[in-house]
Amino acid sequence: MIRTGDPIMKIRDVTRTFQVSLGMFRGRRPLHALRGITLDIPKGQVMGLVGESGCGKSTLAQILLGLDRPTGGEILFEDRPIADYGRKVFGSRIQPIFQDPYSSLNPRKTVRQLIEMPLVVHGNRDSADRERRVRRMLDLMGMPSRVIDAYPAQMSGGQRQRIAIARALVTEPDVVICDEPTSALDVSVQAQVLNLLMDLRAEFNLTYLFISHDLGVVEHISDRVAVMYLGQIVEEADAETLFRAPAHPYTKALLASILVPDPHRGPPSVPLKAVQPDPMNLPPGCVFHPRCAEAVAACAVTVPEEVTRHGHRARCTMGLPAA
Amino acid sequence: MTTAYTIQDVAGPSPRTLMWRRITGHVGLMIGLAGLAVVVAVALLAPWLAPHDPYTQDLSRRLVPPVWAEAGSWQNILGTDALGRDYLSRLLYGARVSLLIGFFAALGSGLIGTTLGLLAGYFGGRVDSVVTFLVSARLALPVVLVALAVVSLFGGSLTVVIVVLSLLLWDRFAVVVRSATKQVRANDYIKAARAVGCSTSRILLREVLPNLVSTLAVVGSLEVAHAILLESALSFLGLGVQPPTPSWGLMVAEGKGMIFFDARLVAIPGAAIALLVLCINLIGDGFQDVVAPQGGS
Amino acid sequence: MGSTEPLLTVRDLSVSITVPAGILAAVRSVSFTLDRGETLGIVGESGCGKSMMSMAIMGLLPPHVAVRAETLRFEGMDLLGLPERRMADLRGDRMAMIFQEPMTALNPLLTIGEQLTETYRRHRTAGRREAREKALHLLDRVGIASPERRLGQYPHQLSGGLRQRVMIAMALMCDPDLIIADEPTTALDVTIQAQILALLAELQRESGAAMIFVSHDLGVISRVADKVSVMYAGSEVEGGSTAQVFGAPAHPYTQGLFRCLPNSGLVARGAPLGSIPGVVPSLIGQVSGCMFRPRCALARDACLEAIPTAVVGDGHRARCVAVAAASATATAPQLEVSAP
Repeated sequence: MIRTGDPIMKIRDVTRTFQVSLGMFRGRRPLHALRGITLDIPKGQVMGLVGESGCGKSTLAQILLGLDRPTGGEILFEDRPIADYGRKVFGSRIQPIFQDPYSSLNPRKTVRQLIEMPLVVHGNRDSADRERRVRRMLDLMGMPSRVIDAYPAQMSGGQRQRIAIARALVTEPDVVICDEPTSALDVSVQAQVLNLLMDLRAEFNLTYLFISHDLGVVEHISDRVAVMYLGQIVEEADAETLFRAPAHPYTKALLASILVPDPHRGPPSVPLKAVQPDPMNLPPGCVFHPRCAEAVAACAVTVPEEVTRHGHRARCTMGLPAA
Repeated sequence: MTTAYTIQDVAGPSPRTLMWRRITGHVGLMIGLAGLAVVVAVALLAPWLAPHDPYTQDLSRRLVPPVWAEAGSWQNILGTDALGRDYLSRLLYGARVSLLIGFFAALGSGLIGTTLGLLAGYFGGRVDSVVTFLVSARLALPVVLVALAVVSLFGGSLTVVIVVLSLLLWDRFAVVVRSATKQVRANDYIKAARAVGCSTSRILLREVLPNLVSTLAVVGSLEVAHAILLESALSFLGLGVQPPTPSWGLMVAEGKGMIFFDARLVAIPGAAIALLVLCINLIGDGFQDVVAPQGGS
Repeated sequence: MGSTEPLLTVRDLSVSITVPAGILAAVRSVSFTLDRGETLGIVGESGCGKSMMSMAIMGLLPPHVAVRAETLRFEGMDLLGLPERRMADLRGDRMAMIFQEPMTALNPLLTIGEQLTETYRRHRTAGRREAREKALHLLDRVGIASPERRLGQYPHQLSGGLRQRVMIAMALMCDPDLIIADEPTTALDVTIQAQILALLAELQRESGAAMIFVSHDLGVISRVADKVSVMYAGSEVEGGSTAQVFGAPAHPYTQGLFRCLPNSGLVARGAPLGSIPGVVPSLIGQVSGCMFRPRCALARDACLEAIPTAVVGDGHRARCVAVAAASATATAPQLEVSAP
């Protein structure tokens, strides 16, 4: 049994390479979506994962959910490779919550059918028991049980997202992969859903991998945060440290881009050079150096090693700031 | 729970209620459904509705004119054909053949086309290439010629015609279902089902297929009309349903020699075919209108 | 016309659409003025009418959408009275729009160069060479490296950030007096968003154009706007200078929005966020009184009647019964804003 705080999922040097077709007769080129991801997700905590679009965070989520296979490396769930678990067993213990509540619910199904689907798939033949569980989930989500026969089209975005959360939790999973769960919602609805997610985490000792581009949300909800850039984790630390004393220049740029409401400041100047990262055409040395504001000559040549101190790791030639 | 969540109510009528309202509010669709209902009722009740046996010949009463003609009588409302059979009775029984062939041919081709389309759309890649090739190959076959060849080889019967048409009319199902499946597959609820550990067959049948129902209804009704027309054509050419079975196509064929003397023999079954096909097409178009707005929401 | 007339005057602008269930009032008598060099931020959640309003000003709404206003004047012209041809002359020339998703706003079949010069040559009797010079200058100005090469490229060959820069360059081709930016950075990564915002602010300062900046993001609005209008269910619920509205939000809805923000400094890390109970009301049909009433903690019977506009500061106004009552007794409900 894994204790709270110990890693429940261990991602070990996971790589994923896609072969991208360049068009007719021009052959294929590899796209390195994940380039050696190593990450421990501690049980009962919220691991935030941030990075810009195309950095590989969604590919990682797909792999953790078993929807895609890594090209290399392995993933351990409770210290056993996930391949050892049956597809269904694994499916009942790791569940997703997606970004778009309009796309994540089958429009042809009622709330009851949507939430009980995982139970049916896992062989629960007792319809009275299923109904009890569905009603309990609705209750937890703060939704009246009379919505049980409603269709998604009759609900608002926030209500739909609650149904999606109920479906994810009905099998009592250990880990929930939240892929931008509030990005499609309005601010006031986002607050309700975030509160709900935090309450549920506490109540069921859930582990979240919380993927988001909104650093304000990630800072608020996460215990630890990992920052991805072009298929690698460039920095990881507990949320407090990462937001207070970021080590990697990319993390610093991300933090500088957070727009806390402040009428006395204009748009921030972000310490980033306007170079487009191209995952098909990675630069030599540190992949971040063409955009890095702190780059030195060595960065274009040497690939930086990962430096770790007190649970704070960063992949930068400059290493970690002095403690 | 520390935070109080707002209790929100669901808004608006259910999608089913909305769909029902749109169906009943669509004039063309309602006309088509009413017309089809009449034909179906006639086909089912033919033994009770028909004044005479459709097979009994009475050579002494050949080519009796219909009731509205001078020499007509109420005994044979639509008159008799060249063999002295009651034309109204044959017309009523003929609806059975048209409907049977229409529905079963559409059902058979629907099964083939939907299966292929689902597999191609869901799996993509090599499966998709194979299905696309099959569709192209099928489209390269001239339907009427192949049907003629097969029917002349195996002889014409209800079963043969249904099987041949099923094997020839699935292409539109396959193409439409393939693209609809691709769209559905891109939704996160498919990922959610996979993440739970759903089997592929369950995903196809329970998650994808229900979303194709409206599309299938549209294509299906158009294919029913298509099959009815083809059956008439085959029967007209003498390769469909064999005499003396009453079939509208066959009745047109039998009457064609008399067209200059007694146009009624061609006009009545011809009009029946045209009206039935019109009704079914109205239903198909109506369905298309009725399901269209849902695609956007 | 005196020189004191604002660039844009909007008084009692209403937008309504006839739907099967009745009349949907998307914008309900909104008023504001805008001077040259000024930026008005319009903030609100989805369905509050903020996009409808900007489309109405641009004259981009389809004919079945009814746009009414007591006054809608731009550079002394009555926009509602203008024939569509004159309106089309203004669009892209005197007033330009920047959309959320540049991929749908750019024509995928034309090169960047063709699209940039087309706008210019449509409004100016300028030669190909002159238009090209201008396009190159602007691409360079919006921070696009090697503009020569970009001119020959198609929209799909550019990243989202670059496409948005092209959109901005396109909007600036004719040196417009008014720029309407509708969620221009919502589809972008955060670092790119910050860069684009800085660029927009700088370009606006240089050109002296007025800007209407529409966004759902309070953080973004606070950084670009001089004055703010907070919209809810088609009406402005609070307005004033950015410093006023963000420094001391008066309306219960604005206060609620701030409490919902995870990084506003109002809520500790990991603590429950504030939330606004209930949902946005239906916009169909006539309503009397305050639209926010069903979700408001300060709701009272008077909220069912006509809602007064309470003046809480110089130009700072809130449409709220509770605020009006409180400001009468000089104890406005204050939102604690602690330093982040």
